[in-house]
Amino acid sequence: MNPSRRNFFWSSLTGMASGLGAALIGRQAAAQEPASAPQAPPASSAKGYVPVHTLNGVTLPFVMRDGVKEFHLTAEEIDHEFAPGMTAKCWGYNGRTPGPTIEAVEGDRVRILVTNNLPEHTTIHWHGLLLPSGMDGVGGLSQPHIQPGETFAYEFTLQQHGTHMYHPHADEMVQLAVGMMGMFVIHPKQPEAKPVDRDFVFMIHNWAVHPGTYRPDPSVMQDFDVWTFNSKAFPAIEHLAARTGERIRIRMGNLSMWNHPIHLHGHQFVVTGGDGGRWPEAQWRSDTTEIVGVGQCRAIEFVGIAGDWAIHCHMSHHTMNAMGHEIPNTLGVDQSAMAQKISALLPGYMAMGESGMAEHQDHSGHMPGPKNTLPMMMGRGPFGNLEMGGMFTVVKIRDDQATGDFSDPGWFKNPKGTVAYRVAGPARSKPAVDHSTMDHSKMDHSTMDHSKMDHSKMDHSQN
Amino acid sequence: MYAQLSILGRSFAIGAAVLSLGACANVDQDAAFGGLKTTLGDRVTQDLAWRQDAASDVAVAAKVNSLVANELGFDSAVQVALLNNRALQASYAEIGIANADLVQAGLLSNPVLDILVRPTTNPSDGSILEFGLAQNVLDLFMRPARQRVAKAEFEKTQNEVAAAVVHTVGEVRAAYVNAIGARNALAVVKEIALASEASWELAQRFHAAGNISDLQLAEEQAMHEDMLVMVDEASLEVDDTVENLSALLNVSADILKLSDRLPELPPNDATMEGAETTALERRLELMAARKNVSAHLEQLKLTTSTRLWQEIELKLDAEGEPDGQWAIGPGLSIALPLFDQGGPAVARAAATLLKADNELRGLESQIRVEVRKAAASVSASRRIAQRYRAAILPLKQDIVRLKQEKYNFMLIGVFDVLVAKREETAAYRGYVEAVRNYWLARAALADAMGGMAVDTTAPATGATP
Ligand SMILES: [Cu+2]
Repeated sequence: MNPSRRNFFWSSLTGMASGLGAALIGRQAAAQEPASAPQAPPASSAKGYVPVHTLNGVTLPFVMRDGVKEFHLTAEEIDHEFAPGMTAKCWGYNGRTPGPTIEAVEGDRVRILVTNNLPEHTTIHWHGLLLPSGMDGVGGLSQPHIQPGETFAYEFTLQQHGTHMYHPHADEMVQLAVGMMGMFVIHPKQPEAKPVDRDFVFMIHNWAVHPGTYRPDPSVMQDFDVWTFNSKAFPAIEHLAARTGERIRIRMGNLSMWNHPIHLHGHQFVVTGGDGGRWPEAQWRSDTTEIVGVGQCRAIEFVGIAGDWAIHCHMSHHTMNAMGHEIPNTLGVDQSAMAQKISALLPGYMAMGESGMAEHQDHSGHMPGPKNTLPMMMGRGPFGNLEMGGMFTVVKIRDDQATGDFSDPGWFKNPKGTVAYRVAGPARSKPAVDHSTMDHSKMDHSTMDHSKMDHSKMDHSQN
Repeated sequence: MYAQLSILGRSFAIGAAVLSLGACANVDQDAAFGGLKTTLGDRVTQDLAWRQDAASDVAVAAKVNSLVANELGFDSAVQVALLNNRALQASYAEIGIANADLVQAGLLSNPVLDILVRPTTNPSDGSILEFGLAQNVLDLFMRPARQRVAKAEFEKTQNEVAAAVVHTVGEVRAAYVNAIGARNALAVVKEIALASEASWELAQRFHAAGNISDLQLAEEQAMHEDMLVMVDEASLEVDDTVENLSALLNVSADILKLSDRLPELPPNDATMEGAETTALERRLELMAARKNVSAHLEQLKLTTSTRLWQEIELKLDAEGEPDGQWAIGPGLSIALPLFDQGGPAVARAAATLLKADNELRGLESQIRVEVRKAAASVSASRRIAQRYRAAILPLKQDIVRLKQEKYNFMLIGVFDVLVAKREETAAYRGYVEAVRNYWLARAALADAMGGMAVDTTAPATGATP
């Protein structure tokens, strides 16, 4: 398929073009989903289900063709931003990683066209789906590889419902490491007995984009640099906005190299399903942390309680951005007398870490770091630094969040007398870090501006 | 009787003339030394002094003292050596020796007077008196040829001494560069040791806090101790090189005031086009070798012309009888070339000439090689120094900066940054060495070119960081 034809085809599908494309969409208008957030309010009436909201992501539109829902994925190299200040050459689908969420209904017949614009062959495996063996997408086993420039069609009928994933099964290790993955949500044919009001979905992933580099390194197995929800690292991960009392579902799929215990603050959720769909209610179990294993999907549900509630992986290194794993331990090391001596050798040097690493977040603002590297700790809240990174975001539940409104409501206004308060003090001064030896005026402040990292000002609009 | 007297008179006239030839023979050493300065020409711009007596010793010492009272520069070091180096003074004396030899060659051998008193058979008759005055006339005829040989020998010596002056200048330059270079390197090595000391002190603090093991502590200390050995070695190198300079200047190392920064490279070097030809024109030992050939050629001519008649003596004999009668008559004595016809002497002189000629040619090719090697060394050491300055040093600085950025983001520890700092400073040491090698090559090139000014006027914002 030549580029211009592909462009025409793609733009017609996304509904961004006028003319023939618009006409084509016009005929199929009933089947269209909005392609960008904020997504349409739950139209359970029209569709019989509440559409999922993909964090920092989109749902893949389709066209109806002879009773078949036809989707189109294009595998290609992309420039991906993990958070402001850090981008990389990744591989993904339709200009993004993870690829758009495919959303359909049990019983649908789907045709998924896959165009390969990568420099090497690929396939797509429909992870967890019941389908003919020849549609399973294992290159060499189920089908010939899709060579660069080729477009293949996968076509099957959805025989199940649940939370699933898609990813290449050709040079899989590399293609996963550079971002090729996506979610595949199948809603049940019969409306759910206990419907949800909001249905969030994201993919858990890890990346070896070494500090100062611009491309994920597939050779790394454990010490990753970037830990992401939907390929975004804190503080760039979208907040999950909802209204008090709404039944909220969060679907998670894990195609990373680690199992991740995902913990939600302030709620007792129930784990209601995995790849095998929504479990019978009798199988639901209460928890506050759910391990999403590698290659697994999990859905948790809870009724929203007003507040700002952290949701994060509980492996504490996974809520950090880039960090050294073999640095000398500075905790408790009094370096104050050394500062002058070392500054003479290394102008701009600052002794760090005697009392802990929290100070790092402040220092990283004025002390230049490697290019294209997120400081280990980031994010500011209403009371100060969050000192987080990676797999961390906030569930924001408000009494007045409108139905279907996913926009950021800002920080929670705590009712009087409901915030932890100081009963003794004043605060001791920390062991002195000698700032006198460094000249802040010479520091390059341009690389990292705290104010731009402020959550409340973050623009979560899709790109 | 009249005839006899007239012969006697003529003989004395010859004797008087011969004496008058010898009478101009005073030895002017100052003029000979002045000739040395003329020979050197523009090769050496500093003053020379031949210290022949106590008064000149005092005057020169005052000048040397005022020169070493200040920090010694490239040129003032050379000046001190030219005034004060004892080997140079010894070679100045060579000129005096050759000059005396030259005057000597103009002198005739002295006439020989024989006096004999011979008793008669009857003692009462008294004795017979015999006087004989003999003069080697061959010596007289050969005087011009002999002077030509001596003059060539003198000029050879003068060129040799001038060459020694030029080489001493070269040695002083090299010794000066080595001394300053060693002092510069010591300053840099001390900087490296500062980084390892900081690292070692930090390690002790980490260890005291319980954060690093005995092993890591020992590794840090061992590293620092290694650096301290480097400081000692660099310090010894300073002592060595400064003593070498002190020996050439004949000034105690204790009072020498020396910079610890090598001058930077000048923007460019002179073209090497035609350098070999120029060197062949300027090298004084080559001139000395040419004079040596001339001297041996004259010697061969002399030997050849005297090969048969090695001794011709004119004599005047007078015999006084007891009765008071004098009989006077001339005589001639000649060594007859019956057995020794001078063949071996001529062969020897010819072979010696051949030897001198081959030494001259050998020296020519050696000088060409010296110039090419020195020129190659100048351009290579310039390239190396420039690579350090333009690439390696900025890169090492970048590496320190980039590591510091990683440190700022807690991606590496301070020890890694200090290692990078140590490596950056070690690269400066390489740079200092390259700059030193450049100046050594420049001194060697100036020497190979027969003495040249070396331009060190480039700002001395040295090679230290
Ligand atoms: Cu995790």
